[in-house]
Amino acid sequence: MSSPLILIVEDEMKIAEVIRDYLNRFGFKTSWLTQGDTVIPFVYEFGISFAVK
Amino acid sequence: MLFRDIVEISVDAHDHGFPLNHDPGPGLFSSPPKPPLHPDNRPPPDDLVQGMPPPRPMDKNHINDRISLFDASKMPVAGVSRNVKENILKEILLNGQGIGYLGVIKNKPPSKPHELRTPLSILQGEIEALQDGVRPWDDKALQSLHSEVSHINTIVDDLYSLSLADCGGLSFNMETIDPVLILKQTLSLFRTRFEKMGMDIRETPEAQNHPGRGLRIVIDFPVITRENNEVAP
Repeated sequence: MSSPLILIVEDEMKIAEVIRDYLNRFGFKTSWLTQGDTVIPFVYEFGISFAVK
Repeated sequence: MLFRDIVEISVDAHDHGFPLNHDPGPGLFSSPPKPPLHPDNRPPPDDLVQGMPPPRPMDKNHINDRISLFDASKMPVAGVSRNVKENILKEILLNGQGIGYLGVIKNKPPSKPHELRTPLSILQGEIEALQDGVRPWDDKALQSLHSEVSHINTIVDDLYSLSLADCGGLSFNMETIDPVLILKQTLSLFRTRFEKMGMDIRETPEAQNHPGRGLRIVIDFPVITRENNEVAP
């Protein structure tokens, strides 16, 4: 079973990096978007397990 | 909430001539030990509800004595420094209204608390990541922490300047600026984002450089924020 993909939606890079590091530490794959209007197209294209704002 | 509270204070000052011999309730003003009566010793007007009587200017010599009789920090205006509260009261006592300082408060840059919160959140997150062993202690981590502390220092300096402005002690450094150039620099931060949205920015012949005189501090506050600087390419 592949690792779940967690989407991080955060416009502050350093905050996103901290969240990413924690999630990666626990074995989750992550993607990062900076703007909310790009979330829905991303979800349609890639599918996600969870989103963090 | 802020607007309503200040308006209520203003109405009280109109109606009662700012009566220190009347305790309006807990949390508003501290009760003075032996408050003086109104200068002309007449009771409050009966038409308190029906209308606002014209402002009744007060002798300036009495203002500081009156203000010193209660604790301005207990005024129910959230997020306003004691100096601003006292200045509001002085204006109420002088003019019968505090609208001038209300305008100052309404025009305060609202982005400062948010900008302070962001670097603090980063500091907390990065320190906890180090404590939890999610990130290694290295030069990169140290440099990041140092840059956030420096950024917070800058914001604290800005807040100090704002507090000086509150009490009228801010000395503005007038310098010649070019508003068009600042506009161009600001637009350049968003150019890539505009292009992604299919928006084209064109410079008209009139938008040439026109050196002007102004306060850079006023222009910088609302236009350029940390968020805009970092998100924009």
